[in-house]
Amino acid sequence: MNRRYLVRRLAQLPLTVAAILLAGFLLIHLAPGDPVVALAGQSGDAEYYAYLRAKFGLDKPLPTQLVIYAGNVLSGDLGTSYVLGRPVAEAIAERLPATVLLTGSALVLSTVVGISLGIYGARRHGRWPDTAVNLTALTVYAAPVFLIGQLVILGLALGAGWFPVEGMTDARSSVTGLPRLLDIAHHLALPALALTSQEVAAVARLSRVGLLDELRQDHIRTARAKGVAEGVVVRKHALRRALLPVVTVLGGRVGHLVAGAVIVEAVFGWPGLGRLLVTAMQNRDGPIVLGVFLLVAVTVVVANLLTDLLYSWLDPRVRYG
Amino acid sequence: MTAGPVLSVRDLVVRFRVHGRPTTVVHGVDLDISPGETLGLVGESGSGKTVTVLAATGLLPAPPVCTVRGTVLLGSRDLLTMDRRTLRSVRGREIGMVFQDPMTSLHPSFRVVDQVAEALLVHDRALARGVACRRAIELLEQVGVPHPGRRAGDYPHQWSGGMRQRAMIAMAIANRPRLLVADEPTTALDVTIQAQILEVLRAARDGTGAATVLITHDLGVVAQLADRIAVMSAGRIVETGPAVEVFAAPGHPCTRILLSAVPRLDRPAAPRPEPVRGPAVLEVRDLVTHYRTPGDRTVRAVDGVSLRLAAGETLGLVGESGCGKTSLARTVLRLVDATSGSVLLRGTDITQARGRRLRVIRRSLSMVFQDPYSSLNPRMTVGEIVAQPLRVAGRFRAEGGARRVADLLDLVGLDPGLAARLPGQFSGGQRQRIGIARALALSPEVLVLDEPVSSLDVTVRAQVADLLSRLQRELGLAYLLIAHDLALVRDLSDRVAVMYLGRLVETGTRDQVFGHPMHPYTRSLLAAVPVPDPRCRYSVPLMPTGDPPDPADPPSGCRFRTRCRIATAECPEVVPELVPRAGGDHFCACIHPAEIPLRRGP
Amino acid sequence: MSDTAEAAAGRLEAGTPAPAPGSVRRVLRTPGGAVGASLVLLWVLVATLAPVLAPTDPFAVDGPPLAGPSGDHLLGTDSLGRDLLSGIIHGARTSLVVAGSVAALVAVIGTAVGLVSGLLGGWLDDVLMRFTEALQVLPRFFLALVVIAFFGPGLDRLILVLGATSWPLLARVVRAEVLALRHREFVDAAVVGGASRLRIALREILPNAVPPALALLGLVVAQVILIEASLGFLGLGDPNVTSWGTLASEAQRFLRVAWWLTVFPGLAILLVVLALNLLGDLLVDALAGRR
Repeated sequence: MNRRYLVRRLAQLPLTVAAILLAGFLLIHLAPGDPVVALAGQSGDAEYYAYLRAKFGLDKPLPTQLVIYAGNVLSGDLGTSYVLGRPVAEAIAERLPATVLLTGSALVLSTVVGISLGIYGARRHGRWPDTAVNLTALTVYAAPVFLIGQLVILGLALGAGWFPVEGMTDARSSVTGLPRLLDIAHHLALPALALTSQEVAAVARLSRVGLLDELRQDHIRTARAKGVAEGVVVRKHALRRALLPVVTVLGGRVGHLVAGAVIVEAVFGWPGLGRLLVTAMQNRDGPIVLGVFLLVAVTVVVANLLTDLLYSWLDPRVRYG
Repeated sequence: MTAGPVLSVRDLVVRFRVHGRPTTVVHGVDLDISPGETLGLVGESGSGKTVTVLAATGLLPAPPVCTVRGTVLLGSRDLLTMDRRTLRSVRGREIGMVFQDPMTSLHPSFRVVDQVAEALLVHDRALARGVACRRAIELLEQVGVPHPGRRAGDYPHQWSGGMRQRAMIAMAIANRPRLLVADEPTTALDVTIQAQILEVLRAARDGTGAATVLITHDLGVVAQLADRIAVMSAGRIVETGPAVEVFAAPGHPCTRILLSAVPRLDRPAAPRPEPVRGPAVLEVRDLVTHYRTPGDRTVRAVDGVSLRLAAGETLGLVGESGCGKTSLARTVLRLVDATSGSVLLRGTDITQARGRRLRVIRRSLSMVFQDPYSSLNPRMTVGEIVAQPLRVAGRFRAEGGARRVADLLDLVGLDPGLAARLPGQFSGGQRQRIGIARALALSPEVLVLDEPVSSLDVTVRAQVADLLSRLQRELGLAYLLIAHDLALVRDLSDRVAVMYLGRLVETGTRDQVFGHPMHPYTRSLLAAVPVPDPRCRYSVPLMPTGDPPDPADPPSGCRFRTRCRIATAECPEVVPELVPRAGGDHFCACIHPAEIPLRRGP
Repeated sequence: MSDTAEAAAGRLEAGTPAPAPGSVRRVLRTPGGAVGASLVLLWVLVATLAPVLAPTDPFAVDGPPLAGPSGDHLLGTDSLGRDLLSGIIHGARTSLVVAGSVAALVAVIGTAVGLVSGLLGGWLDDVLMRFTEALQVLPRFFLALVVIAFFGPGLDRLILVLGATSWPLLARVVRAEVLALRHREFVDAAVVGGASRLRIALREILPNAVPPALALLGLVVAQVILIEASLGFLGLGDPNVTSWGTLASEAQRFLRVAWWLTVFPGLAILLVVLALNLLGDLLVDALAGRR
């Protein structure tokens, strides 16, 4: 990996996006079943079908539809939902903040808590706190997101009654300002916890192994021999490269979190993109599904690119390779 | 300074927990180091010498893994019972340390200058960052890093091993410590760089007046610096005494083994049978091998080399790592393609051969590899490995099948009954014998030996070298021997070629090259081999200076001129040709060949 | 869903190629390896013998609806009175079919792409690797989601879409191994010995390049099981077979009254995924030359 690699990755970006677009488009249009039939029902008359086809541009040949769609997407128009009868971009924009809030808080939380737990375990390597962290992380990492969500509801919402079972706000309250924010935070706590726990486990395991590896390196011994304090050895000398494995998977983690969000939103009735997507799939609402898929894929691709840039900043051997 | 020892170790015991089982690695070591003294702590690998010093400075892993008992007094304070804050203020300020592998001992993500400056900043809160960096540059200058100010932005991976080790020494002496510990400081380096680093260490010691502990397995290295020697074996000190006495009359068997493992260029060479001047089996003419690097630079690995190898003789090829000797061997074997020039095997040029014809030609040319671990396929039995060349050539049946394999194993001194085992079950020496048996399978005429013993244990080296000599006598093989161990090359070779940066600088019989070296490079190479005798230390005027230049951008004229102590204004202008000197078959490529023979020994 | 698998692939790519045989046996002797291997074995046995082991047919109504765990129904019953234990035992079968088939597809495609890319190099390597990178970036769960949503639920298309998209990590590792092996001295020795390119590829490189990639398969399959369960949970499971994800999906509606419906299927998934991760991680470390 070197500069040329990064330049190549940047050049690859539009190509990957185009490939994603094409894949999604073909998938939807080559799938069995007719969206118009799904929309108007089996018994609709031919004229109505034709009207709908013309309305959504479905009467044109596939390549033309693709070109029109790609052009529209590049200008920010993701088409019109078959079912909702409104622009896809609008429907997505409406749901996006809830999902960004959920995944964003989970991303931050899992990074901070995961790395802290990893450091905690690695610095007590071979003793029981390390073993406990390691085993817990291993177990949580293997648990499906919906199980964690359901257990959290059973324990903290239905059992202890500390948190609401579902939703993003208390439906009856019409308050604004700080109380509203607090209300959202109260509703966010459990979904964020459910979504983040598996990520915490993954990050903790990766940073623990990374730190253990790094603390065994010769240059750490050099730092200690120089008289650098142990805390500084860990934070300044070891952590930087110990977190490389954590950084490597950052792009993948964004994809993982968004996928997890679909499940978590289903479990907690969180009004985000995941709910929109699942509903759209049940209704065979192609434009919405394609729009969400496109957004997620591009987000993940960009996250991967940022990961590479971050990586090269952390390791000068990559930068000057 | 106190009158007592700087460091006093009493009854040091170190235990490791390996797979849950406690193992004692150091059994009650006592050591004293007086002010200004240099102690050589020597022993084989695994004798506990490094662990002793790491335990004394608290650099071993924490208790469940590793426990340390005893007392380690630095002046009057016990390092083992000291609290962590105090211990930290001692490390790097009163004790400076240099470690074995300079490639891994520096932090890869921080600039070298910052790492040296950190050694100062850690112990002086009041010091400004800029001042520390300027002081770090001075320190780097002091240990012989050329133009450190210009290289202030460099990261470790941009520096050579020798330069990195200089940086380690700069760090160790930054705070003028009372005690300097150097743990195998030159083991990972070329012999020429080793000589330079030992000089830097000597100057660092003399400049700071620090008492010094030099840990090494190489008695040649320790003889250059130590006043007193302590020999360790299996976690105990088995012999101590003044360096001169220990070298003159080694008392313990371990000391004698260590001493016998040192290549001795100061002793007469092993006798060789009269060289047979037969016809050339292998001839290399104006061979050029260039590589393209990913950065689109051309590395001139081999840049116009001619050689001649007669039947039954050994040609030794020597030079620093990176000089192109391995590339030359790989080109001869067609593992890489020549850029130009020719390789004649019994008069036939093999550089252009392809496919089937190449495979047939290859049968009379074979190779023994350096690493006995990487050179055998771990998933094939020994029998299959040895039989492979026979099967490929379609001669397995004709040559007697399993019987031929058994004979080959027997020939190299292995039990043929072991043919069904996997390589993982053999020791390094045995594996190297398997590699030799494989190389002999098709009865080749020429064997290329690439560092055939350098990866083996010291005790096994001589056995494998003897085996190679015996096989040469019995089978009439011609050897192209590549090795950095000059004493081994001298013992096994009839003729020697010295290579520098892709070119040959001197060739001749071994007595000519080793006895009357003419090229300044050959002379410095020989002078850099440490003699295990404290009365016979390096002679500074013969030392080569600096690092070898970048083979992608070699100097004009004579390539050695940038490191040569006798270079003149003519040297960059004239490309010196290999021309015969004195004896007629002694060739040297230098416009100022030395007339005075190199003196070795007391 | 590939954090640890991706990191493990990184370790394999950086590790020493051609580990000595016998690493697998050493892993099975460690406590983690033994537990992991036993659980995987148990999963395979239960899945294979499901019709014999299950008390009833998983679709048969066999008792009162939403009955808690008892002597009659060890793990309780669902909203239609079907035995949960039977459902979980048959669910093991579904997860094994999906996991096994995807593993086979991934092993074949990944090894083939990695070998071709590493051995032949040149423009073919470039094209294959660009494609592999692009595929690796695509969020697999969404791809599976979209395919199932539009082509309808079914194990066949699930297996195909997951198999067709899960191989990049394996291909990367095989390719890295091949490239590293090409510089090993035993390959040079074979070249010097006159061996043909085909012989070197098949006898020297292939047997050493494949085992590390297969260790990675455990981690990849663990992710596949989680994806299958998640799709089932979203109601996109094959309606003709019982799956752990589908069972858990039903539990969502009865969370307040029937905790067992969510706990037991979830636990089954957790144990299998845990076992595969445990075993896979240890094998990867062993084959990367770290233990």
